[in-house]
Amino acid sequence: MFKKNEQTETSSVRLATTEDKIGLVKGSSRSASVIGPTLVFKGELSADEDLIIEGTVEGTIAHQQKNLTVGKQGRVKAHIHAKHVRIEGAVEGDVRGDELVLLARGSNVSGNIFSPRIQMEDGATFNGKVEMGKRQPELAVAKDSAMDRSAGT
Amino acid sequence: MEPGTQAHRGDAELPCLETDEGASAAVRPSVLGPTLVLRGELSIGEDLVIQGEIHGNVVGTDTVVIKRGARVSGQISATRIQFEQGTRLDEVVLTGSIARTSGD
Repeated sequence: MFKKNEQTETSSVRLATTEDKIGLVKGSSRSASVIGPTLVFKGELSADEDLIIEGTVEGTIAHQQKNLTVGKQGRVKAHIHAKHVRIEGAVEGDVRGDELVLLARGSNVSGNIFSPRIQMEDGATFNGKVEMGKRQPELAVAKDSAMDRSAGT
Repeated sequence: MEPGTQAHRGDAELPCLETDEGASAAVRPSVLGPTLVLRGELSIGEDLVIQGEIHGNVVGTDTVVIKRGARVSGQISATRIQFEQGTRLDEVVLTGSIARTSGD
């Protein structure tokens, strides 16, 4: 009986430190899921929150409206869909970013990229096709005139 | 974004995605948030916190914490399994040293 209580105690302490570490890593209280480097998952994954993948994911990722990061140690064999996609690790599959896809230095992507904005850092490896869709001229003009106004004052 | 700005400007637009260079090598615990739904097989060699749904088998070498509001079905084996009141466990087989907590 005593033993069990003791165990519960130590477990809660462990939990507290674990969450502290997460707080440090994120630097904010905003909710984000983290798939750590030793985590290996095979199957279907869906989420409606920011997601950082440092581990291995194989299968399908249905992730929309939010940000997805494949970290340096992340290995993904799946099609990815999110608002912002940042890739630092390896991805095998199509990457769809509703707003932006960023391939960081050291990243390796085999697949197609679909996004209106793409950033590729020096040192990124990419093999595939890029489709940016049609440019929205109204948006570009509106932005330009706003810039002119701020420059004029 | 203006043309010619540094590539790192992309980071500024994704503040929540910042990956701490220093912490990347350190053990980063895995947290499966409340909207995360996993169907499949999962194995992990570090602490795991489950707030969302997992349907399938989980094999962990460390502590698995099942938080309030989580839904789990399948087999979970880990060195330590801790679950809060209010978790929903459907046809779950837990293997390991188990602790139940009342949460916050």
